[in-house]
Amino acid sequence: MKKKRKLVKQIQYEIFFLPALIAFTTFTIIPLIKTIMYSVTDFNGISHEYRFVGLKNFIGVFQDEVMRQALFNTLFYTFCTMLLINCLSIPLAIFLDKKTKLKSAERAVFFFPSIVSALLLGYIWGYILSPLPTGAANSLLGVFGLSPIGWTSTSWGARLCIIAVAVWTSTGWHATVYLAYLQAISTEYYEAASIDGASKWKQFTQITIPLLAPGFTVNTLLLLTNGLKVYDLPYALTKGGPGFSNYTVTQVIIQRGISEKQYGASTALATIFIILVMIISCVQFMTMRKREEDIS
Amino acid sequence: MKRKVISLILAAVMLGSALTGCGGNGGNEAPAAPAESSQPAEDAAEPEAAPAETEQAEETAAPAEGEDLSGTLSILSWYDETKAAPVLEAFKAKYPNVTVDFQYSPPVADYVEKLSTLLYSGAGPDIFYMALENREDLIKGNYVEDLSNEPYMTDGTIPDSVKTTYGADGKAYSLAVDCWVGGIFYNKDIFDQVGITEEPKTWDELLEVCQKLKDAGIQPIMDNCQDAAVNFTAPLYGSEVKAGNANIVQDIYDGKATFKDTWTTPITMWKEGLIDNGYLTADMVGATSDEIVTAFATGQVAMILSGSWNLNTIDTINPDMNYKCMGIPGTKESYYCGAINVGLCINSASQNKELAKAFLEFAASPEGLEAQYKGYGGFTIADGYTPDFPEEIKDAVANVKEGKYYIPMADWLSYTESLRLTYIQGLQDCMVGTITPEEAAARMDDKLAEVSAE
Repeated sequence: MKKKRKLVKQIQYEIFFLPALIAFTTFTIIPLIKTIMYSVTDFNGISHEYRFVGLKNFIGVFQDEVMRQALFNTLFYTFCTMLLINCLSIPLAIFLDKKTKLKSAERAVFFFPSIVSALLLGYIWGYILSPLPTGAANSLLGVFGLSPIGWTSTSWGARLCIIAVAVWTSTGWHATVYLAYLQAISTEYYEAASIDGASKWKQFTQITIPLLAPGFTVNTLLLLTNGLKVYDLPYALTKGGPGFSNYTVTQVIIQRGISEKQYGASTALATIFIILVMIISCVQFMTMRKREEDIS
Repeated sequence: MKRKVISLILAAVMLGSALTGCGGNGGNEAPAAPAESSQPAEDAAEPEAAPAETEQAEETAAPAEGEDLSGTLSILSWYDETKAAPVLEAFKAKYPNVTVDFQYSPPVADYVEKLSTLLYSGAGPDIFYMALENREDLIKGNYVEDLSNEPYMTDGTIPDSVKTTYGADGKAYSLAVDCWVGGIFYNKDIFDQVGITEEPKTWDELLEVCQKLKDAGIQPIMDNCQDAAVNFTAPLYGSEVKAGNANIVQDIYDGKATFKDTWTTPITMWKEGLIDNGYLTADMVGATSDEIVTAFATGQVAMILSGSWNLNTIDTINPDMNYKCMGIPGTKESYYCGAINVGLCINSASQNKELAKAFLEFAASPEGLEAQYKGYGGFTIADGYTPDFPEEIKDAVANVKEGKYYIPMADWLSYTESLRLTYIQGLQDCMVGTITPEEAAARMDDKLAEVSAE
């Protein structure tokens, strides 16, 4: 009787889980299975007839120069943004934590870029970084008698511009996450450290940084996953150019699948990428967790 | 217990209302399925500008020829509701008992994707548009009705170029009635200022004009090389290669020729003539088309490559601007950029073929052509209506009508989108100097080999 009541209670709880499970299965699990299924076929998205082609599409991914370039760009973008945003947002969070009269305004100013669509920001920055003399940045250079610069006209120029805009966009948001963790640190630690004669720098390295470790884990995971699936900003700023030098993996997946109707090749790249993201995320999460445990 | 009963009743009511809500909205949101098509469409599906109310239509005297047709016709439009309004109004006036279930998807990628999904899932509209980007998929997938024997195709109303562009194996699948044109837009006042009295007729003359402008301290020309339809190399291919061998593309697909053999010439002419001489700079690859048009309209550059869709923009920025569109001169003759616009198709699985055919017949009639010119603004090439073209573009339209234009995407027999992307990427890389013209051309051979092997 007791067992039955426990089971009924368990089922009652499980019912609440059902809507989320249905939504997750419909919009994530089924498309994922279909993606893996199409990756071993020559499906073109139009014809109902398609055949099994084995691992041909997967081999093609590694032979395709565009896909290799996209993979490099995506990893480079992810690594650079993860590093730069973390390095900038921790000092920014400490600055925003200070009790000044303009505290709210300062926080709003740094948080604002992250609420605007990345696509929109890409187009705005496209105007600012225009290679023509009429572009905003080049107009400014012109005031000082300098020649216009083709900011996004070379592969590396465009790559660095994309990273710079991404860092400008996201630093404020990630600083807010650090700020939340920063405010959770009890002032008693700092008071005790001061009494013991610890310098400000010592307090920062021995108290602030270790206690910010969970925030670092969260931010790094978010930056990693967002970086690996980046599409909108590079596309809006450079359309992936010049040539295909700044294509990202997502852009290639969309282009190959939707524009070129090569669903087989597109889904093969998507499958490889899913596995890669899973591995990187797991390794990163486990490493961070271990580090957090070591620190605490 | 009482609380549980009340909770259950409330949950049941909420679930019921949610399901009812779903059922009620479905009719408006879902694309009109063939089985439902005989039902009048909901108001939400009607374009605002269309005279929708049946009562109003009944009050006015309807033309006798359209009275016998009735039902709902679903259209997935390439043009938005405002642009389509004159066409839908004129159609409604002719067929008062036919209701149009109008859907719009912005071109190009979104439109192609939405149409593919609808057709693949068997929920395609009765009428939709064929573009160069989806031509091959629609024809190969048997999604479109053969229009070869329709009166407008046989009586000379629709020019042969339409049948070639949107046809296969001698069959015509799409009714396109207009075209767009493009070429070199030049500022007449700047030309006068530096003493250029005539349009350059050959490639060498164009280079001389560029040098003259450069010597005078004026930026000769701008192009960002982001458009496969409007650039220097496509018209040069038309004049230098295609004009000498009309079957060259077939030869490439048959393995008798290569892209490298044929495209290296126009790409080299462009690279050595304009880029190596500094008339076009690699920096421009990062500029947007809007910025280039603005630079032209404000007199910062003497020439740009552009198309008829920018006439209004230029006129808005500088209404007094004195400019004209000329062709891209080759070694012997000038070719323009341009193409037949998108065309209407009938879904081969449509349950409303009679209504769909009536719509296409109307679209090819003089009143239909006039309504399309008013709404869409394309340059009519079908017989039956001749609009007054803007002075700046008049010569360009005449030349395009005569076939003096080249757009690769209309000429490539298959894998158009893959080749288009490779082509434009190659040109950009060539412009910034990372590859040679030969390598840019050879990339298309590699791409064709790659996609045709799949």
